[in-house]
Amino acid sequence: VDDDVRIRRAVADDASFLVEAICEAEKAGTDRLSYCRIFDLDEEDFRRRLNGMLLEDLTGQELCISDFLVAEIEGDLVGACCGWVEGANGSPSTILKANLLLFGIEAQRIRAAKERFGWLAQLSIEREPGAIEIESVYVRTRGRGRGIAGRLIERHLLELRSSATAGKAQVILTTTNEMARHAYEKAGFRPIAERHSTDVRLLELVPSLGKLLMERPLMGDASVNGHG
Amino acid sequence: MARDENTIIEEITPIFREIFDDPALVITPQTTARDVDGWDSLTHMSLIVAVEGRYKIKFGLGDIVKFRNVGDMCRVVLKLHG
Repeated sequence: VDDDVRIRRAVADDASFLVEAICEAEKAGTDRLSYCRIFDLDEEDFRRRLNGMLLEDLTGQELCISDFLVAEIEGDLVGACCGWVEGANGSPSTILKANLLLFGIEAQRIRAAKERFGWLAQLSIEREPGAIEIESVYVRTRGRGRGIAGRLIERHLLELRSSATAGKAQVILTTTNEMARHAYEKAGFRPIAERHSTDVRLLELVPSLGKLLMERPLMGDASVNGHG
Repeated sequence: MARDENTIIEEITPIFREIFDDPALVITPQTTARDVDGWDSLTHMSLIVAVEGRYKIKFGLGDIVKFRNVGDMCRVVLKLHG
């Protein structure tokens, strides 16, 4: 454990870094930012809108500032990770996120995206109510190789486990993101389910034709500790 | 006759049937996303935009996040559209 790495809850001043984290995690090493492809936005425009959506701080879904933990080295932000308990406030996170997108993206663009929504449904994986959900794990080059992703995840599990009635943590990732899969396996997650499609139109929107659900139990897990 | 929740339910039922591709779909004020096959984030966005378009209204984020069922949506439609 590096003592110069500080992990803390994100605040509004971190919004631009969180925009970077969300966009880079979503791209999964490709140049495909699905939000831009789905809603026909250029990346700069989407990043500006995402900043505004984050500032609404709608908890229980992946575009919420206060559901993020960030890592700093000597005051510089180097890592981020979002975590929440699925459905804790009564609504699925996907519906909460959809409400936020309705706030940030005009109706005309959403109507125009309807056909693309149909394509995306082929890769849909449901999250389990009461499970801790991990999203948008991102570490800048400066922080890599220091176990920061794992520490961010561990801190989320530690802070959320008492509310996680399903007794597990989940993460959904694109099947081609081997680096992320390795990081999650290192953090104790194991593959549970996959969705695949042969519809190549999806590659216009998302990084791959598959999604993977990984899980990790919480009960009796000695590796959940207070690092950071 | 005063417009009420039931009037709105009748008016938006065709929208639900079209979005969820189910000509026999019946909705009530108590209907939630969990009760309707295919009600996910993507169909949710299409649904909300279609209802807004039907009444020429725009739901505020503060209203929309409080929707727990179709009845909640109808009450906000009545408030914004009358």
